Amino acid sequence: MAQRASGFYGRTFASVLISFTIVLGFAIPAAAGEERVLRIYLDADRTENFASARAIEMGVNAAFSDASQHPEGVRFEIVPLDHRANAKRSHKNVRQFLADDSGLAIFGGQHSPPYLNYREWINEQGALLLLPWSAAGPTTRTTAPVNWIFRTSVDDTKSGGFLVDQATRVYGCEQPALVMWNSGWGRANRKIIAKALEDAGVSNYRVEMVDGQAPQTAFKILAREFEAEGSDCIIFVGIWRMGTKLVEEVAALPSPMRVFSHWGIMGGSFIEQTTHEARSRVGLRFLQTCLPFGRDDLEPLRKAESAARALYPGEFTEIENMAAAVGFAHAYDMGKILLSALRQTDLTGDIVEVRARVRDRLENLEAPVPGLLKTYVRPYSAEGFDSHESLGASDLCLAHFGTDGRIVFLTGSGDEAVSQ
Amino acid sequence: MNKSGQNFRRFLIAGLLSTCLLGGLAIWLATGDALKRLQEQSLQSRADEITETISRRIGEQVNGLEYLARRPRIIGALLGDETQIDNVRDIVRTFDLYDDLEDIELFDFLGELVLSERFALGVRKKFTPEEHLFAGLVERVLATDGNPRPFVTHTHMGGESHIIAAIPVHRNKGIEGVLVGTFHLDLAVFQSLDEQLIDLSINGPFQDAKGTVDETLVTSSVVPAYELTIDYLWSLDLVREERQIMVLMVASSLICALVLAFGCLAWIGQRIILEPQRELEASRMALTQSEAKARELAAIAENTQDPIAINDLEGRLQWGNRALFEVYGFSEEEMLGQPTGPMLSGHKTDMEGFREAYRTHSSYTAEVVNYTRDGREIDILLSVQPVQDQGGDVTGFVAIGRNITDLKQREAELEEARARADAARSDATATKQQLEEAINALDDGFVFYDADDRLVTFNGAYQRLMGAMGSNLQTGKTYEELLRDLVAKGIVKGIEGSEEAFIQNLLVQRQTPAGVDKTFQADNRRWIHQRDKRTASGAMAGLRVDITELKQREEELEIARQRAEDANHAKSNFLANMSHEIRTPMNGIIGMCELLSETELNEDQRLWARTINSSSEALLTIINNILDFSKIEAGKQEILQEPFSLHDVVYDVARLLHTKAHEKGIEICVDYDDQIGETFIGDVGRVRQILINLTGNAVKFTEDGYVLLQIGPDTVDPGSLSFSVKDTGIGIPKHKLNSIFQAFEQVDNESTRQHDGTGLGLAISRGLVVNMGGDIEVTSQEDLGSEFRFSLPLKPANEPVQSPVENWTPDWSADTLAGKTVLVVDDLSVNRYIMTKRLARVGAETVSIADPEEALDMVLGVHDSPGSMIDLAILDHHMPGMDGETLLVAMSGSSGTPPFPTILCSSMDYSIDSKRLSNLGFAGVVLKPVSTDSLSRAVHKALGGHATAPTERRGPRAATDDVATLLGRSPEDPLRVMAAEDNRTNQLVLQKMLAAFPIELEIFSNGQEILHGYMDRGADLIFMDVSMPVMGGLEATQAIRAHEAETGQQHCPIIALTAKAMKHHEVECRDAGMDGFLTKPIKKAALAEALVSFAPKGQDLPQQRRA
Repeated sequence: MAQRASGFYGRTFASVLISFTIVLGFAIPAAAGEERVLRIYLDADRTENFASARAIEMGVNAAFSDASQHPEGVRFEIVPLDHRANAKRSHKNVRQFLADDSGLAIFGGQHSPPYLNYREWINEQGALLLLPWSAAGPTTRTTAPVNWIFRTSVDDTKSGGFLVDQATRVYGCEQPALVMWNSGWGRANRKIIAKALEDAGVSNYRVEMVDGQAPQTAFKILAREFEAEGSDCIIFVGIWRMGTKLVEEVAALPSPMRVFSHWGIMGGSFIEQTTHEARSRVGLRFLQTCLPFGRDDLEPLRKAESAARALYPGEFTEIENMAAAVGFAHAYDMGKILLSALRQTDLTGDIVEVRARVRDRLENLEAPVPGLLKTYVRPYSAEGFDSHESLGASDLCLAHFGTDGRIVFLTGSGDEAVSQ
Repeated sequence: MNKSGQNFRRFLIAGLLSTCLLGGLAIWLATGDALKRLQEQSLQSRADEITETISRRIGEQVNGLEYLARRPRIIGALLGDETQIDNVRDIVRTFDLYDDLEDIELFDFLGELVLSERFALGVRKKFTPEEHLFAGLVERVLATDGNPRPFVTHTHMGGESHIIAAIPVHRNKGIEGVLVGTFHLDLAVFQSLDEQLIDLSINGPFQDAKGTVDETLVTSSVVPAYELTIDYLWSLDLVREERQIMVLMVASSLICALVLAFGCLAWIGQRIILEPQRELEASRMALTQSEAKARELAAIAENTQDPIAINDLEGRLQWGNRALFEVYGFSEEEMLGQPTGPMLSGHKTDMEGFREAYRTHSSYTAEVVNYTRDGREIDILLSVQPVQDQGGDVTGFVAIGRNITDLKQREAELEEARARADAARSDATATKQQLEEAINALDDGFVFYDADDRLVTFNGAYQRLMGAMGSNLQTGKTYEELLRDLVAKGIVKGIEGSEEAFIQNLLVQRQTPAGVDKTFQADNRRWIHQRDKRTASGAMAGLRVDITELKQREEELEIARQRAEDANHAKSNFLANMSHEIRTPMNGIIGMCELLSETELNEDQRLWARTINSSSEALLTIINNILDFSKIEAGKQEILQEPFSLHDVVYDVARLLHTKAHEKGIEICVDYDDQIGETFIGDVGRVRQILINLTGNAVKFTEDGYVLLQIGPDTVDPGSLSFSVKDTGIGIPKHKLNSIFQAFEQVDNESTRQHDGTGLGLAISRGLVVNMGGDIEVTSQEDLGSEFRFSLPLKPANEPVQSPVENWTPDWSADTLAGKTVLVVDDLSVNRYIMTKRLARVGAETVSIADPEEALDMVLGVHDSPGSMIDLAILDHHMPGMDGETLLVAMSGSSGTPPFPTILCSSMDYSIDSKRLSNLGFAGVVLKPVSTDSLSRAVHKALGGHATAPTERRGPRAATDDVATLLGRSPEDPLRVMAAEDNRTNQLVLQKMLAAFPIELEIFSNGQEILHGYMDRGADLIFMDVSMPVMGGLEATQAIRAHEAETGQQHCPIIALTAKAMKHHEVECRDAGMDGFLTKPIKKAALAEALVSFAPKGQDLPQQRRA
């Protein structure tokens, strides 16, 4: 226990150190007297889903590592905070950010509930919240006059549809079983996926809402029931700990059904705690934003990787090896978008005003932002359902794990299924 | 009641009162603090028990809350999932099962209230969670983030006790919230557990402790799991009251016990102390009076000279006076309490009278014999009187004795002296008379002087022997007076020196303890042996013996001995000389005869030459025998101790005599017991000589039959071997048996003797056997044969002696022929017996048949049967009717092949044509007498074994023809030999004998010549005669060796040629530097052997020759 705690604190300390190094690095060109410190907060579960929090941290740091891209006279500090998957703690973190007169923006983590629960409050308070991972659809949609929440991820309204499309159309699943985390995020996905299934003409499906703390036996019972009922695939939306139990129990069935998972299984120790054999038996497919493998222009990807390697020698090797690759990619791209906005914004004056100016700039980015996944052209706008979404369904892919645990992207929707 | 009784009672009452007073006071003072401490300890332990009960009650509530805190939904609600709140409420409500549960509140990690649920509505007054108590508790629990732990406190509200437990709700040790439960704790219930307990209060964190109340006692207990302290207020009045009661009880018990104890003491004191004291007083007075009286009596008794004893009724000593212990020698300690009768009296005293007196309590007086401590007898006149006490009862006996020992002894001595005097008178007269008669009857002189050296008596013989001295003897005179008288009268003759010195010398001699023992010649020319000896009383008894004749015989004997020694010397010298003188011409005769035989001779000449040779050999034998005999007689026979093969010696002897036996048509059979081994330590030459003598005799005196040599262990002496030579000859007449071993004795001593010989053989054999520590005997029956048996103590030798001819012996052990059947056909039963025995020793079964025809029948019959039982046959060569060869041919039948391997046993040694016999089908031929070696080799060969060819040993058996080869010489490269020999004939013999060898011989007439020749020219080898004119052989050899040493010339072998055959001669030669030793007459073979042995081979030639 003490070991784990020290590991956790160790990692936190390392992150802070790196952040300061970066800040010092690009603070040199500015005149010492005029330099302004701007803090970028990271709010994520660094206890139980450390991999995802770390991936986001790496992505942001890598994006900010190139000092030449920084606006003049500004020094950035990146402050990681741990909400331990507790929405209230996240709320506290956001309050801490707001109270900081250098706090420019706060990046959210993998979890949606914190931001879903406090969405209105966030918008009221004017907290510039950037979400590189959390996928709950409503988060970025608000009735408030000003929307302070931006996302560079694929929201559930789109990912749910993509998953259902892949499962039913490409893999021919006719009687899916839905296993949903009994949380705000899970409940939101339930609605989305149920609707998508109905749209796809699949009515024979079963839905199970499962607590995040549900024991192994709960999944064993579920797997047997699915088999008995004749379910031919499982669509899973939950966190990695639930995912390991599910995959293990389904793989233990005589004729396991395929499991399609949201990217919730990423971000923890899913790879370490499941065997390749089990993953193969269930034909695990999971949602990822499409990394540019197979495309000609890999330059941005290699650049991001090289920046991360320099910052995290030994820890970061390449993106395919990451347990939470999407976290890194999205955070990197979002960092780049933010940096682009900052370069085009007057960063002087009261922090509340600065935040407002940056928010406005994000909605009005004229110049395209070259990112790791793609080049973003007007990633955000002021109006429209997806005005604060920079990625869409077209950016989604299915992936599976190779024998060595690396992510293997499936090129083109349905190709792999055909080839199978 | 007397005064002491009163005092005793006063003392008791005073003691009782003071003890009660002091004890009560002490209890009152001493028990105060102790009782208080005990009470406090008791109260503390009672308090601890109540605390334990309260702790358990709190623990149950806390456990319930902890269970609740672990529920996933509780955690979910704390993570911000608002939808879970209702679910959590449902779960919490299930907790109303706990009676005392009042409220449950759930706070998030910020300390904000998430949920509040209340139970037992309307029963108790409620309080709000906002109170500082809750805030403090929640904050404290949240502070344990990372290491979560619960906190429990207590509050007193509305006159009631409440336990508030704050339980962390955590996930991975990270605290996400706090679950707070409030329970009602009815302290009155616990208070009622102890009637002395006025009140109790629980103090926890965030609460001030209550102050103590006067007149109460407070004890505290801690609830170990939580930071709770429970104070217990105990009623001091009750405690005090209890203590007083306890003190009163102790004091009253003590006083009761004291009164009882003093009552007992008073009663016991009366009985044990006061009454005995009174009695003691009375008896002390009586004692004082009787003591005064007793002292007077004791003084009298103590000082009397007569022993006095006072015994108890059993006779054990109670008191005794000084005289008693002095007379008897015992100490008072030893005697007191002991029964005096048995202790002092012995068997000489009749104790019955005293026993009667003891029984009847009456008086008795008698003389008794007593014994002192050191065992001395004393006579006592003993009077025993009963002693009565005041009541007239007999309490013991007083015994008064009087020592009358001296009186009795004097009486006895007087009587004894009287009797002795009477007896002595009569004895002395008779003895003296007898003594005088005896002394006078002696032929030898007897004289007796008393202790004062006065002549008491002497007999006639003494007087006679002493001649003139005898006639001057006079009894009553001292020896000195007599001596001086004799000297003065001139009777004593031959006094050298002064007369006085002579006298003093004799007197001194006479005084020596051993007395005088000497021989002297009396004046009458008689030799007298004087022997004077002192008696125990100091008297001197002397004997004079006439030894004149003895003296004369001694002298004659000495003269005779001297003459005999001279004669013996002359004889030895004569023998030695004769040996030398005869051997020298004999050398010439034999040598010449050998040479003559090698020349062309006609039959007659050859016969004459052979006769000369045999006569010479016979003469030499006689000479040798005489020499041996004379050596044995003179005790000069030297017995060597060196290892030799007895087995070989026996068979050599048998073979040696075999030819002679064969010529006579008799057989020599050998039965050598292999179990005794082959090699022994001893003088091989002598053993051979004995065997040759005995076996030769046996062959000589046997015309028909056989001679059997048997060698085996001596059944009587395990350390010796038994030899037997048995023949079937003429035998020895009984009257000759006793003298057969004497010199020059022969069975046919008469003029018609058929058998030649010196008659020394048996005498020599006997002498040799005896000299070797053995014994020899003979048994014989005329016309039937004789058997000479002798034993020799020969020790087995560890090292095997190499056989001169054979060095290969096949396996011949107990199971060599196990399972084999051997057919033995021999007409001679002793041969069959020996062969059967021999084969049985190596495990073979034997079929032994005397008649060859019977054997043939048997073999042919067996042969027809499928399993032929014969594995091997051993056939005698010469048998009556059918010889061995014919038998084999007959057995072989038409096939021409014998049915089994067959060995021929033949006496026809060298004439047998082995090739022919092999062609006939014999697998082997052995020559009689059959040695173990030859038999084993033949058997092995016949049965398919392998026999290596015997290797000729270099040296002794080298044939003359081979000498050249062995020397590595040729006529072109001869060996240069020098010889010194003064006798012309011998020179010629030597020259001729050596002419056959490839040598260049140069002969010199004396040592000087050969020395010069050698110094001048050198030689490869030298033969050196020992006795030569001008310079002898020994001297010449020494000179040659000196010359070699000076010049560094190579050592030249020198071999002695001498007629001096004694052992010491050989030693002298070797000491002089010679290498070899040959005795004359010289044989060609011996010369060849010496050449081969000593001559340097071709490549070892001396340096100067090569140059």
